[in-house]
Amino acid sequence: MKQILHIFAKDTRRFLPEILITLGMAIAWISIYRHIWLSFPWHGPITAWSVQDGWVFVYLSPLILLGWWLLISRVLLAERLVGDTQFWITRPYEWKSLLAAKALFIAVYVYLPILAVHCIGIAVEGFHPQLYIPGLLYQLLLVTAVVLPLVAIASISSNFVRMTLTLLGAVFCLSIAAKLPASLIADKIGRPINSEIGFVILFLLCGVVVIMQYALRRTWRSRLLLLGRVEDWRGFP
Amino acid sequence: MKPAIRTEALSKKFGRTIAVDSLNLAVPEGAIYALVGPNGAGKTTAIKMLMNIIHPSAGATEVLGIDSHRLTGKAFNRIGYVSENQELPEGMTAGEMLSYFRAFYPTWDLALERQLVRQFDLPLDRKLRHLSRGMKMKAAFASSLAYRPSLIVLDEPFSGLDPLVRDELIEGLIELASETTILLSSHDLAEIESFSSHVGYLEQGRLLFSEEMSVLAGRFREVTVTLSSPSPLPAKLPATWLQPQTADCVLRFVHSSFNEQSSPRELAERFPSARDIAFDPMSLRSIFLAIAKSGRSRTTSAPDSVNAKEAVA
Repeated sequence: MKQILHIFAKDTRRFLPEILITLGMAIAWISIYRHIWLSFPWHGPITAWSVQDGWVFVYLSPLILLGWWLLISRVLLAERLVGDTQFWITRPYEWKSLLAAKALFIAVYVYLPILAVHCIGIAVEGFHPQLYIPGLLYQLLLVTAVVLPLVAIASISSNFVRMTLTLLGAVFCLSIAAKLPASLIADKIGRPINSEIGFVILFLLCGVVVIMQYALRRTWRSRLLLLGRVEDWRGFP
Repeated sequence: MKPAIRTEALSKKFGRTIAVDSLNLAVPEGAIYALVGPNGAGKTTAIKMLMNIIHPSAGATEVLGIDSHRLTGKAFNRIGYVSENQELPEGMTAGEMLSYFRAFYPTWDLALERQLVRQFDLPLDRKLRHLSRGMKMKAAFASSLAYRPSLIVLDEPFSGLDPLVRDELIEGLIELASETTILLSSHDLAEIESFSSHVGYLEQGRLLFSEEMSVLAGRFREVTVTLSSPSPLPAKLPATWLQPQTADCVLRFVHSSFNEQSSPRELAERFPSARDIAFDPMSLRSIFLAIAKSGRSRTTSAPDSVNAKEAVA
């Protein structure tokens, strides 16, 4: 536990500017959301300010996502798993502690703000967040469906550029696959590409790759595993 | 004495290239072992396998009694590793890095850390990314020596450093040498010679010899035979005579298995008409160059690494 907190504290110090920027954007987002909500016709007339807020709101949302993506990528690559020159691989780092520290960082600086934003949003709309706990947890699960593949890709990437290229490549391949006729990409029993089982497999696979990489740092095996199973994901064998 | 490092038929292949070939190495506890060899000999690859940074293709390694495959986490509490290619947490200052690493090591000696900082004249408040290469190496040394590791592994630590920095680093090492085992690979043979107790010579992935420095220095001699009349290079010279060459009445070669008692007699019998036979001790650098050059000439004439091994072993 001591090592987890030690690494977490180091990452917090190192990425403090990024953390503050993403938190600031999240606070701005929720403030604007509140303002827009209160400007709705049932609260009062639509003003020029509320239209301007709407545009800021539209641009801010992808910026926040970009900020979180950068934060996650940078914190994971601070102790990258690919390569043989990293300072930490010959230091007494316990892989479980390292993984837990990174998970804690993402939980505190990404999940917690997301949860807080949702809770505040619900409260702004006049409801009690406690009544929506299952929905909020489901939202976090959906976030995990995005974050876990991101973590898996980071764990097999040697730097930020390669990680970004891999991610873009994966998005491109999947978007091509999604446009192919269903008959081409359906499995033998006719399940379509976006079947829930496919997502669950990919989800679990990402988890396995992350754990395997942190425990063993066998990058090529992990890459092949991810690549092979992504192929499976297109249509189960 | 139980070796601090032991390898058995350790091999590493990168595709078709054999980087390390059946390496059998034993570094005795308390030794300062210098692993030398030309560029591409496999020194760095061997060290990386020892440190579990890369995985061997075959063979086994043990470091401080632990199988290298299991060398992770707490096992590194007793090992200090510094490499010329090693990255440092560049976003930290030297002081932050030392403070960060301090928490990982139960045996971290704060007094020793302060002493090393003073000795190396480390600027604690400057970011590592803004430090010179020499300063970065000093910071790496300080962070790897301050917990008094039982084993220090250094991969080309002095490469590209100015003589002053080299001396400072060597001084820092020597002060700890009595309580630790040191394995280092280096091209800086003059420096190594001054403080190493053992030396191993690696060429094309194979360990040609591994022995105590005093034994090595004892068995290598530069031999100059002054003959009474000019004569060509004799045929069928022993394989242990490296780089034989003649000029007028003088025959010169490097004797790689010199024996104080028998060698002068053997040479006198072989060259009865010799006017003088001189045996000059050699520096490690001269020995290294003789082996490397004779290895190269053998490789170009008849590649036979077994013969090469026999010649220098």
